[in-house]
Amino acid sequence: MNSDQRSCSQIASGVPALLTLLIACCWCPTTCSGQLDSASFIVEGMESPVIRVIEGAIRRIEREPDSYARWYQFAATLDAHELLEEAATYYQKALSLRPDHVESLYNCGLVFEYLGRNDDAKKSWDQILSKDPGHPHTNFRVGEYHFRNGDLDEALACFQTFIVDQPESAMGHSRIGRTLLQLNRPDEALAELNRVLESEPLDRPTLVSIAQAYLRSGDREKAQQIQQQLKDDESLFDALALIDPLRAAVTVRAVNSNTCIARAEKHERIGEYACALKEYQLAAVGQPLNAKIEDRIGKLLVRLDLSADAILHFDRAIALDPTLVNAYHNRGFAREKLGQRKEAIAEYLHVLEMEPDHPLSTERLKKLGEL
Amino acid sequence: MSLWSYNLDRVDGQSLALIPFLPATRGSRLVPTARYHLSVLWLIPIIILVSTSCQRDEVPANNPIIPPVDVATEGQQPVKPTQVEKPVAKDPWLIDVTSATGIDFTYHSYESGARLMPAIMGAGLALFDADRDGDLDLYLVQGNNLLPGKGQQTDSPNRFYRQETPWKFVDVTDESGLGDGGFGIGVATGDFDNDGWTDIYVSNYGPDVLFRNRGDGTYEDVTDKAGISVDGFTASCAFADIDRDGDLDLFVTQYVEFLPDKKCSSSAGRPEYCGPEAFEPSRDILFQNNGDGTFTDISESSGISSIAAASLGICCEDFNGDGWIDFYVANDAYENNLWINQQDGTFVDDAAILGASLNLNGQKEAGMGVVAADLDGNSTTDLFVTHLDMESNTYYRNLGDQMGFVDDSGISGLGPSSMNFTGFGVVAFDLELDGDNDIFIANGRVRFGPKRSGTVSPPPWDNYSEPNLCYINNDSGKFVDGSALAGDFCRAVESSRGLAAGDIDGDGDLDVVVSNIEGPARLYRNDAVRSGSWLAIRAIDRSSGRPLLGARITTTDGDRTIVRTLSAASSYGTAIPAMVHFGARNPGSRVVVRWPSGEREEFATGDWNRTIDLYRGEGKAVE
Repeated sequence: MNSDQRSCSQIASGVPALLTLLIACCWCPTTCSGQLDSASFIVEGMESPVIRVIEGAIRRIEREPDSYARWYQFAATLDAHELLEEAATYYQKALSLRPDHVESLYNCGLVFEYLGRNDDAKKSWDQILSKDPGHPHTNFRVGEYHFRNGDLDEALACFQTFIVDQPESAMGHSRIGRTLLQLNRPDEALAELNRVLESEPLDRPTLVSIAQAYLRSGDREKAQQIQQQLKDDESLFDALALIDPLRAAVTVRAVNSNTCIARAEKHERIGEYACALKEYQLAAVGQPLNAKIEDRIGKLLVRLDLSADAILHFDRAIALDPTLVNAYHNRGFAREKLGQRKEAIAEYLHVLEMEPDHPLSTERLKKLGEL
Repeated sequence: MSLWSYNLDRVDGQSLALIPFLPATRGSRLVPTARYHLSVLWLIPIIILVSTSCQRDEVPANNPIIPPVDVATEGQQPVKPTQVEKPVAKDPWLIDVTSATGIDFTYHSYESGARLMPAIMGAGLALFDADRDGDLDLYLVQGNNLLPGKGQQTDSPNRFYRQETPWKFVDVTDESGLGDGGFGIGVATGDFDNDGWTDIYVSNYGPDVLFRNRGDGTYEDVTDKAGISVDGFTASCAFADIDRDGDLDLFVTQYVEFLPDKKCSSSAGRPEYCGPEAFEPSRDILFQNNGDGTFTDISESSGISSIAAASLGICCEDFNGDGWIDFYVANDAYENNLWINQQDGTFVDDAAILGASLNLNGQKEAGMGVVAADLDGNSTTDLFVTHLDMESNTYYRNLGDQMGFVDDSGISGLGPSSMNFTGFGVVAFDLELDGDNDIFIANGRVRFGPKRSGTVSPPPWDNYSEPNLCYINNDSGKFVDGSALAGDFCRAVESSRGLAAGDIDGDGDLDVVVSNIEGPARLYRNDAVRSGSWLAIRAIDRSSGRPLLGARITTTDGDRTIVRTLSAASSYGTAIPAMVHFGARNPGSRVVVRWPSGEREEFATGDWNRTIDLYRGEGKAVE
C-alpha cells in the first residue's frame, strides 16, 4: 500500500480521522508547501550550533531520502529544541518508512502528549505494545495516560508491568503508590511509597503522599508528624523530578552535545544546578562514553544532595576513564557527605597516590584529620 | 538493559494509523498533490453537518422564564427586578455583545520586544455593584508604559464603566477618580470601612492602591491613610474577615522579585518571557483591618510570610468547616498553599497533608487562577486550579470529613482535555440553571507557540493566543467539553487573562466578562437554554449595608443540597460580584445561611426567579 492508498483507507474509516486530517493539513504548512527548507525551522535567537545541526540533518535527508533513520534524527533534533509540532510530523515521516521503528513511535507519543494530543500519544504507544506487551517504558507511559484519565485499574496494571522489568525504579514505585492512594488503598500505597524513600529519602513529593496516605488510613498523628518534617526539613526537594530516567534516557535527542555542555556550564556558573544537570544529561546522550560528562553529572548531583546517585555516575566516569583523578576525589566527597568517612578517606588517599599534590583531596584529608 | 536494545528486532512491519497526516511525497521533497488538497474539500459539508447534529442532540429542552414575583418573607427584602426580556434561547450559549455595550477597552502591555515578564501577565477586572443601584458595574485594569526600557508612550489608566441600563455602560473613569495609572495586574473589592459602599484595591507591578468609595460616584485614594504600603509584583488579592470581628481584612499575593535585566530563552534559543523560576519568589502579605480605616501588616505574625512562592491566584473559603475563613493560594511553579485559620490570628499551611499542594503525580504546577466551589454536589468546597500548557488544569475534589482533597482531574474530564491550553481566569457557575456548577476558563499562552486558527490578536500576541474552554457538569462532578456549543466565548482566540461571571442584565442567569492582552475586554451574554429556576441572594449586614463575605448559603434542588459561598475573590486578578447565585430544577423553599460570625439562620425563599436580600439576625436561628 503506498501512502496515497493508505490515506484513502484512513479517510474511509470515519469522520474523526477526517477532521484530524484537515487539521493536520492546516498546521503543517511546511510539509504542504512542499519544501524542507532549514529556514522554516530556524527561530529568532536560535543558536548557531543548533542551526548547523538542523541544516546537517536536512542535508542528510536529501542524500538519503528513503532512510527512516535520517528522518528520525531530524525529528529528534526538532524535538530537542521544542519544535514539537514539526517533530511530530517528521517522526511520522520516519514511521512511514519503517512503521515498527520503536524510537519514533515512542518519541512521537511523547511529543503528542506534550501537545495535549493524549489519544494520539496512546495510539502511538499502543503500536509498540501490540508487538511487545511487556515493553517496560511504554507501559509506564500508557500507565501515565490512564492515570491522568482516571482509569486507575488500567494504570495500575501498566505500572506493575513496568516494575516487573525495573524492580528498583523509584519512579515506578512512586506511580504505583500514588495510584493505590487514588484508589483509596492507603495501606498498600504506604508500602510502595516507602520503597521510594529507600532509594530517594529526600524526595519531598513522596513524603507529601505518605502524609496523605496516613491521613486516609486514619493515622492523623503520623500524618501530622510528616507534615512537620515537610515544614522543618529544608533538605527535602523534588528528587525524582531530577533523575527521571524515563524522559532523559529514552528521548534520544540528536542534539549538539557541545552546545549542551556550554549551556550547562553557563547554568552552573550562576547556580542553576538543576538546569545544568538536565543539559549534561542531554549531552551524555550524545556522548555516552565521555567520562568528564559523567563526572560533571555526579558533581551536580552532590550539590543537589543526591550523593548516592552521584556515586553511580562517578563509578561510570572511572570505568570509562580510570585516569580521571577528579572523579575519585568527587566520589570520595560524595561518600563523605553520606557519612562514609572511612571510604571517603580511602578515595582521597587513592587520589594522592595518583596525583600527590592534588589540592582538594589534600584539603579534605586535612579536614578529616588524616594529614 | 537500555531501552533501545529492547526487542527492536522483534517488531515487524504493520500499517500505521498516524501516517496519513502526511501528504504524498515526490523524491526527496515533500510535495502536496492536487488530489490531496481536493480530497479534503469534500469534508467541509460533512463537518458542518456533524457539528449541527451534535448541537441538536445536546441542547436541553427549553424552559420558559418564570416572571419575577414580589413576595416578601421574614428577614428578606424583595428587590426591584431589573430583568429584561430574554430572547428565545438558541445556540450558542455565550454571545459577544461588547460592541453594543459602550465598553471600548483594550489592555495594553506595551510590549516592544523586550519580553519583560509583567507584560505577559495581563490583568484582571472587577464586576461589582459600585453605586448600589442593583446592577453590575465594570472596572478594567490596564498596563502602562512604565516598565523599564520602554519609550514614552501614551499612558492609559484603568477604566471604570458604570452600567446605566442593561448592557449599556458609560465610562466614568475621570469623574470617579479610579483611573489608576500603575502597571495593573489585579483588583479586589470589599467594603473595608463598613460604610455600605464597595471599595477597591488595585494590585500593580509597582505600588498598589486602595480606593475608598465615597458613595457619591467618586473614590478617594486612601492607600497611605490606610497604612498600606505594597510596592512589589502583586497579582491577585482578596478581602475577607479573618478574625470574625466584622470588618474586612486583606490578603495580597506577591509573585516574584522581578529583575528587568534578566533574559530568558526557550530550548531552541528563542528569546522568551522568563518564568517564575528565573527570579526569587516573593512572600505574600496579610493586612488586618484595625476597624478605623487603617490596616496593620500581620504577614509575619500570622505566618503567611513564612513561605516564599510565586503566588498568582487566591480564593477564600472555610475549607475545613470550622466557621473561620481560610485561604487557598495558587502558586506558579511552587507548591500551592492552603492556609488554615487557627482562630487566633495565625494561619498554618496544610496544603500538603490535605492533598492540595501538588497534583496526583506529586508535581508542582504553574498555578494561575483558582476557583473554590462545590463541583461534585457533595456540599463541600472543591478547588479548581488553572495551569500552563503541557500541564493539565487540576481539580482537587474535597473528600469531606476533614480527609482533604484528591486530584480527580482525570476522572472528572477536566484534566487531559486542558493540556493544550494555558489557563488563567476561571469561574464556576450554573450556566443553564440545572443545579450544578459548570466551569469556564480564559486561556492564553505565556510562551511562544504556533498561531492558532482564528486568532485575532495582533503580533506578537497572535502566537500567544488560545481559545477559551467551557465544561458542562453532568450533575455529579463529571464534566464534558462544551466548547463547541459555548459560542463566541470559546470561538475567540486571544490571549485571555481575567474572567468574571455575574448577572449583568438582571435576567437571572450569569453572563461573562473576559479581559485580553492587546485585545478588547469582551462581554458575553448568557443565552443558554434554561433547565430550571434561579435565585440570587445578597447576604447583608443591615446596619452597614455591607455584603457579608464568607456567608455560606444552603438550599435544595429536589433531594439534592446545594451550597454556595458569598465571595468576591476568585479567578485570576479578578473581583466577582458579592452575590450568591443558585439554579435548580426543583427549587427548595428555604435557605440556611451560616454567617461569617458563625451563627446559622433559616429563611424562606418565597418564589424563585428573583433576587433577594437576606439580613443577618432576621432569620430563624438554627443549630
